[in-house]
Amino acid sequence: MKTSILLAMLGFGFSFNSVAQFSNDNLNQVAWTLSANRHTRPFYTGLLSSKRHMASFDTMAVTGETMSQQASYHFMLLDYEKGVALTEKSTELDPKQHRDAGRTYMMTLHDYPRALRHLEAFDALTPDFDDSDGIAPISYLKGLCYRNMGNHSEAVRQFSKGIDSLAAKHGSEWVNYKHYVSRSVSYLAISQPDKALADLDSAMKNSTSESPLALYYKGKTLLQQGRTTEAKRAFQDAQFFWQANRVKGITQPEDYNNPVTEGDIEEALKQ
Amino acid sequence: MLKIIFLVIEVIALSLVPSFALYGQSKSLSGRWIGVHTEWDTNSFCPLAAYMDFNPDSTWQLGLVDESEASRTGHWGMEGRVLRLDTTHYAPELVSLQGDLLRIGRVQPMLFRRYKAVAIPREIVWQRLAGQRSAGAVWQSDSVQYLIAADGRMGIRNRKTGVQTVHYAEVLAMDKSAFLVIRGCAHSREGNIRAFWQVISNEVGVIKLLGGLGSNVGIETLRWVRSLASNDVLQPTGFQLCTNCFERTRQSTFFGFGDSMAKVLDIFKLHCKSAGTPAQSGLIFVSFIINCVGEKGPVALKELDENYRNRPFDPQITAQIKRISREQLPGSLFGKPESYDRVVSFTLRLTDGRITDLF
Repeated sequence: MKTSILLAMLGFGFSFNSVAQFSNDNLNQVAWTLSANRHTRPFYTGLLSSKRHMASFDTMAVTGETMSQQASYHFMLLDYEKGVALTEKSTELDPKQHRDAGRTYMMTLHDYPRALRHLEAFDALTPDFDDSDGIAPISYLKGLCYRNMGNHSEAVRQFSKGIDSLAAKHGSEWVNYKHYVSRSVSYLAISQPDKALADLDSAMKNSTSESPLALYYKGKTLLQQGRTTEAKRAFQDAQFFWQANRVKGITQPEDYNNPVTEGDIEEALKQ
Repeated sequence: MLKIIFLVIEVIALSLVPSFALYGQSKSLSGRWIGVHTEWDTNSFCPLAAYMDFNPDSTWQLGLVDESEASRTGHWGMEGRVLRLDTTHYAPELVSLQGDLLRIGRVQPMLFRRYKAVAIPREIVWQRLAGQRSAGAVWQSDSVQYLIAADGRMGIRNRKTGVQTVHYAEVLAMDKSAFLVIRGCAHSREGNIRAFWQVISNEVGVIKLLGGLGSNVGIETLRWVRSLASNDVLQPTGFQLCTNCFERTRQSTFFGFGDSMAKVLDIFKLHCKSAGTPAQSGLIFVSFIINCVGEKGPVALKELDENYRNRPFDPQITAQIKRISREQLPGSLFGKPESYDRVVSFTLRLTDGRITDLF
């Protein structure tokens, strides 16, 4: 997970810079850098120097974890070949690294068959337990892989495993609303709109603010049921709350795994 | 005999201290230090046109050489082997003193050199640099040619490659010394600093400059070549960044997964005519820079097979991807026009020559 988060923070993948350019003729900046240099390690990603930190691995003990971290720097330097080789090797040294490897293949490289292989291997370490990556159950990640590979029935099975285990442990109101949305997308794909609608109702109940994502899929589901007027209202609501969320400064799209955009909502409204 | 024993003990003790470590050297820190550069990475240096004064009365000043802002003042001291600048403490391993070079920090080390005044009037230096009757002049060092116009516009031309970038030069005075500062870009006199040197000698036809040269401190010797001619073009020979301190990995930040991504994928799917050959599967990583005035830099590709090993794709495919990136992707897809340079990068997944994913 650390690898994926680091890569996301470093902007690996589709990226462009959105921060003001560093200025070396500004006393604030000079004073800030001088002060930042009291730290022995970078304390935020803007201070990461890829080559310098890459070199620091030379003095570290070779473990699966350090190898996985090293892989993430290779990805950052766009050296996929080494990044992938180190990722694979890290799992040989330490099977727990299958989790990070799975996430890296899924989030960073969109390579779902490989991601699934690693997530299965990680899950197999504790067969009677629904493992978590710290944020979501592994079964949820596996569900996403199956969904992206077009196997929606298996995706539903995996999503359900994750949702059921969380609901049993903490109550259904504590299940992340995005998990319900993800399952609803697969229900829609296998033409089970009633189940999709039930999931979207749960999603909207659990979401902390109005969710354009859930409303968009509700519109899609209602369309599948032939309820066009209600569908249109759902899309209109999705558009309204998208704009409201923008004003509130809420990050959109809401979910990397279900990247519904404002353009998608507009397109749905046109139809 | 006892003295010799103590001396030996002292030598052994000192030998245990890292060779460059600051070790109870408050006296040796006293005085003015001129910035050389900030080390962004092991191969990336950004000029540091600042100074620090460590005064014997324990007052401390941090300022810019161009004095465009009021300096900051505070107190400094050595507490054992720990350097204190006001309330900021630097562990011994974070500060090193090697001769006249002071290095502070590890995450973005800052290098300073001990300042020695060299009394040279800045007007004289500028008159020489800009040539007789301010008609402009051409100077050169071993590797670079400097074309200087009377208004300060300066072309910096690599003598080996012929590549020229454009900036603005000025000579500043601090204390009694003169400093040559090169900043800005072809589009603006303002902007961060590309080079910053103290003038240490100003003879007819030869100007010596002391400051950062790559990773080191060194002397750049400029020799007069000729007056600036009317056919000397003070324009960049190619794409030029607006900033003078730039590192791709540092200046890419997370974009997200919004409409732009979907639009970029649509554009590629629309314009990329598939070769449709089964062998053309894998990833193509695309990256380019859009500068502060919206100009696109060269498009770089990295090509990998499905097992993430380097491979060449069919040149027909890569040529299309380069062309689409250069000509079909509007800069507006990657954010509002800004006053800074932006790195754009994304990866295309190809299956049998068809673009199937973008991330």
